[in-house]
Amino acid sequence: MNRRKLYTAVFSMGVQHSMEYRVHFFLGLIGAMFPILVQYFIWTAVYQHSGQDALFSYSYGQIIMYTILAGLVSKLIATQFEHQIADDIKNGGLNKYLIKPISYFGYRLISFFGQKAIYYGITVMLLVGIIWFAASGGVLKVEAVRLVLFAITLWGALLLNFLIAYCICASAFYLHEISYFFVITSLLVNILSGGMFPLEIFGDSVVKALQYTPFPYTIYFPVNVLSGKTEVAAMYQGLLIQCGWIVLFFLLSRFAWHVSMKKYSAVGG
Amino acid sequence: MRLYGLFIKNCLIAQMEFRGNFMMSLIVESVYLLAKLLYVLVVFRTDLHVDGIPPEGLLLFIGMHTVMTGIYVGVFFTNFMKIPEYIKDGSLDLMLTKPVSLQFMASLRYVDLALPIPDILVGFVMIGIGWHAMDIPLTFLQLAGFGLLLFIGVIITYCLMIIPALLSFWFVQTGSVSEIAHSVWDANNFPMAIYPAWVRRIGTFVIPLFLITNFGPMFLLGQLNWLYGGLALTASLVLFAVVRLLWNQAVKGYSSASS
Repeated sequence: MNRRKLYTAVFSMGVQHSMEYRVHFFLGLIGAMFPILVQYFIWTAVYQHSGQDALFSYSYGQIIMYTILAGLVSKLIATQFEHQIADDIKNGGLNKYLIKPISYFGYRLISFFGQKAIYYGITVMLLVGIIWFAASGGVLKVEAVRLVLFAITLWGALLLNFLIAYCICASAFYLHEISYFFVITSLLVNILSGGMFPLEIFGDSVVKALQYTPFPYTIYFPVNVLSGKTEVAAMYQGLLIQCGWIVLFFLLSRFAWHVSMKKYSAVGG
Repeated sequence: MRLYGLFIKNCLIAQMEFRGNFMMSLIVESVYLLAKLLYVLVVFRTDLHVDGIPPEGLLLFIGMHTVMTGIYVGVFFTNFMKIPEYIKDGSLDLMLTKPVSLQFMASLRYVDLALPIPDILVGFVMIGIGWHAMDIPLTFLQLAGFGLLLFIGVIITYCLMIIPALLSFWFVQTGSVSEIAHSVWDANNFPMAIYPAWVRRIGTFVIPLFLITNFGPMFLLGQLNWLYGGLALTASLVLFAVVRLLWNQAVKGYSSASS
């Protein structure tokens, strides 16, 4: 089987896997709506009370936009394979990949993209609705260049988030009980990426410091590209930095797995 | 009651066996708490007033919600997650044969002593700060009223949050329903005054979610009259009776999956 055929099969497996639990997926979307709604009411109260046009440099419309988009994006880029990888490492499921002519990294990456393909489509449909609604309400100025860049950074965010999670997974070679660890890291990464609140609420110095980490480039940056908060020049610069982080984390994940794999003892199987 | 004491002791022994896990549970819940404290950060940084209540007063609401979350994850959460498993693998059969109330056994058997520690500690500190800042007198009446409303909150929490688990008697996969229940749960983090009237009405009279953590602080701030207090008490008792009935109905239909 040639490579292209192989990975197409893995991709379509991923797609099928995501369609296996359709009701679960849609209920998950409903579940994601509630925190957004709660935040909507909180921000409404905050802006009504303060009487100011902008808080943390966001206008009321912008902050609501941010809340909705960040909720959608963090749902889209969420990784759920950590437990499977940890399980593979702990119980020896990794063995079968080691002897097959397929790289584990490639398998996980393509299957992740496959699983996200349908989500991506649905998110795009929701986004079209939201953008149309926001544009007609005057909150958002639709610019073609921003839409294109947003689509690109969204894929970048997906890839970067995958790589970050994949690096974290390498720790499963060293830790025995790992499920707690993933809960902590995924929540922390989400907060630092701006998935809950715009990063500005932490203060300017924190925002500046976070610019030197990869996290804002998964949620905060793509959302602000679309919402128009990021300046045009900063957009291209951000895109470059995102690419830089992707390359860096790609190398880091290869290295971490290469080193850890030497420790792997292939128990069970 | 003695049996429940034994359960707690047993769980403590089991958890002490794996102290590393105990510490991890503590850390996990602390991280969740940290995420919740971000709301406090927003409240203070924007100097949010809701219905004339200053940020310090809002701490009463957030603190009460945090305490209640601690009680929920400590006393109920583990059990409610296990009920669908009991039904799926048929271990409910064994429980049916025990000379204890099945509902008690299935829904209160496990107590997690690590998870609630950060929530309850920080929650009470927040309530303390709010209590002090709002100049609420520390009288027996206030304490008793607050304690009673806290207790009512616990009962309502039990009744509402067990519903996803109960559904698993009829549907096998209910994970996403409890996920929704958990995300609705956090709507209580703030005074219900921030929601529009129709949400408040649904949350008070249809699904009495706001009764859980809104009434305690409202009582302290003098916003709650006795009529509503009585209503909360009645609602909790009625709700408990309904859940009891539902449980009996569900068990009647239980067909013992495997084993």
